[in-house]
Amino acid sequence: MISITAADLSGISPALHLAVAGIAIMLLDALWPMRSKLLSVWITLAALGCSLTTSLHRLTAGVDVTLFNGAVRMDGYAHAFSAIICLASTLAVLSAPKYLRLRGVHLAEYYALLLFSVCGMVLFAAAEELIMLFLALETLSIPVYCLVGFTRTNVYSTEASMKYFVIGAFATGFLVYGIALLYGAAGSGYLVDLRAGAARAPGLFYAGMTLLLVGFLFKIGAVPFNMWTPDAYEGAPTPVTTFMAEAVKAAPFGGMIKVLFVGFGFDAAVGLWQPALVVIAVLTMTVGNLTALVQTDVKRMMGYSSIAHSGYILVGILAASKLQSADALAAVLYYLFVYVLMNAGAFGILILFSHKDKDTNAVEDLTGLARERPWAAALMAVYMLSLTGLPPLAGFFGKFYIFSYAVKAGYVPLVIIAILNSVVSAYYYLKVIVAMYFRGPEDTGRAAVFHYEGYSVFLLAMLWFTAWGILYYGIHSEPQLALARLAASSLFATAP
Amino acid sequence: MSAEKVAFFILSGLTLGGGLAILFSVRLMRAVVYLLVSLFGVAGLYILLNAEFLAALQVLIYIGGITILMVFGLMLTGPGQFVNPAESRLKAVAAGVSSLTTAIVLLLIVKKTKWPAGTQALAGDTTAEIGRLLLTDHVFAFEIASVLLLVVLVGVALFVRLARDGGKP
Amino acid sequence: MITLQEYLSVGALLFTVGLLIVLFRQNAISILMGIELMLNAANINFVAFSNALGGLTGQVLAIFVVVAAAAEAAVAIAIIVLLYQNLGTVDVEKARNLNG
Repeated sequence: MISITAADLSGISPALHLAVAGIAIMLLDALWPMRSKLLSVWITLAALGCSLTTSLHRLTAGVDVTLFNGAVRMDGYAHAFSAIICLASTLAVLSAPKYLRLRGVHLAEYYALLLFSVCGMVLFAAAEELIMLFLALETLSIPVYCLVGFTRTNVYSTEASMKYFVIGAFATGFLVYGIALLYGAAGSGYLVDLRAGAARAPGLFYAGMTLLLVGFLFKIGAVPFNMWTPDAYEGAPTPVTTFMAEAVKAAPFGGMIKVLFVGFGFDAAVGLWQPALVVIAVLTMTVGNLTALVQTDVKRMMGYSSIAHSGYILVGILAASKLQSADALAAVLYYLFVYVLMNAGAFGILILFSHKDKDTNAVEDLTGLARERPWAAALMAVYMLSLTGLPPLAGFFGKFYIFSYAVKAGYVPLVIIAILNSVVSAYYYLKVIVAMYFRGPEDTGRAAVFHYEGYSVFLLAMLWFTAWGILYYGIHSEPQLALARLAASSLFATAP
Repeated sequence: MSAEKVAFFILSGLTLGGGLAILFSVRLMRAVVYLLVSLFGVAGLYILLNAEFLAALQVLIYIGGITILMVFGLMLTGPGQFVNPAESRLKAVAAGVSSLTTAIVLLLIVKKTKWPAGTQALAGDTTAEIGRLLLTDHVFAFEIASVLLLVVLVGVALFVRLARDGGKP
Repeated sequence: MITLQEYLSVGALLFTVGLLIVLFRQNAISILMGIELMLNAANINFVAFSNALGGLTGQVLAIFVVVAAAAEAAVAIAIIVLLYQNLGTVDVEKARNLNG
């Protein structure tokens, strides 16, 4: 009677590993609380590693299966997103133990919640049905609301948790109402059936589409739906901010791109959402960058910068939909991959120098870093220059591919605005480098103290890996792009 | 006017009236009672729509669960009062205008929707059929819903733990 | 006979009332009430469509929304209680340690 087959379970294994590991960590914590902390780090890393390798293996093998009566589809696209998200989460997990131990909240729940969230993210890009999309979104967001409040004494983090929850739940309200209208118009919740709804009940369909997109735009932090995103970034414990800035940022794009291309990919609907997204992309880039200029807190600045990067990714999505080319969509996936590396690294440096009672968050706190800790400063410089988009770093190639496809698609004014924005963004990224290299304690009147408190091999491994990735995958982008092309073409094969 | 129509108007009146009362009420505890009225109205509408199982679920989960949870929340956070509407007038006007536009657009769209009059009774035992659908067509969504509930369990237990011992193991 | 339009209108109006509550109230618990009303509005639509289309899928979808709403409410109340312990207020606008 219950229709789950072995093929279903093996097909969904990238998500299954994560959920099972999460449950295992909770059981372990109950049975053996003394040793569970370090063990749960290893279990988490193993589960993420399994999912990552399975996804990559199946992506190259071209596995494309529809599972559970059509509820999810693990094709190249879903596997590629699963790989990006697992990589992002691995980096976030590596940065966590040191910080949590210093704060006295190194609990197994952290890793369990994180794994459940990643499980939701993997399913979000794989969902073929609106209700699956909704449930996956809830499964990925609710653990993050809890993780943001992962300290007791810190009022900032509780406040951030509350604000993040209000925004998230508000977005959910729009999303669900949109799904209800789309279901009514199409008479079915499957993405491929949605276009029938546009013919049967156009009014309901387009209202539903608008509300669904509003929900998505809230989740990716696009202007004007970006209120409190920076608050949440600033207030959350730094490892959680790392997770939010890369994995939680990349995952909503997985569902959004799929819905736009498969569900709303026909001419009449494209004619409506393309112009709207152009306006939103311009606003998102400009407002994000201009607000980031005046920030003095690195976490907050990165919050606004992540909003700006959402704008660049929207430009890439627009180009891919206009050109209908898998190559252009592959550029978006490559950008997400690079974006994950840069952000993980930048937050990792902040974690490296955070102390028991004080975070290193302000730009001023990094003054004179280059004299005291030249290697750490060099790594931070690599991340910042890559975020600015300086060749030959990976950040440059990410932007370059996106912008060149956008030009090919005829979005020349949009690209000019995007490039101007990149130039503006150089100011606040370079501000960090100037503080590290060209200013000393004599400028701020404070003695600079940079000592590693609570040395962590995990964190160092993460920092070196991301820096190497930025240097290496910029010039050697071809293997990554080839994988991304494989993924993108599998999405276009489904799209109408 | 048929009895069904009368019931519909009373129930939708309760639903919307309860909602509006929340918007204008000053005391939080009263607002929870209005929420209860509104949710009860929704349960009644479900019965009119031949969704008896969902109506029962609405009463159990929303009225018996979520509202009670809110009452607990209120008691634990002291005697709260609604704070006066948004401080800045600009924000209030923007919020009002955008909500009313949403309402008008949605109503216009609904009015234009052409559909045969519904409410044909579904044959057979709908509860059994819902159960069958949950375990066949929607079995994966069902499984994910259980992961979601597990997440909530872990998350809330975590908050209790953090509040109790400051996170010491 | 009650038409589909009438049910959808109730849904649309309830959604707007929920929206107004979220936008005009600053107390975290009242915002939560507004969000619950928005989700209920969506559920009225699901059930009305389910009835009009003559299937039960809409009702099943509505059940999942109820589950998610309950999950959100539980987490929200936990956060609100913690916020009150730490800050002494549940007013989202008054909580301004983060200058947003």
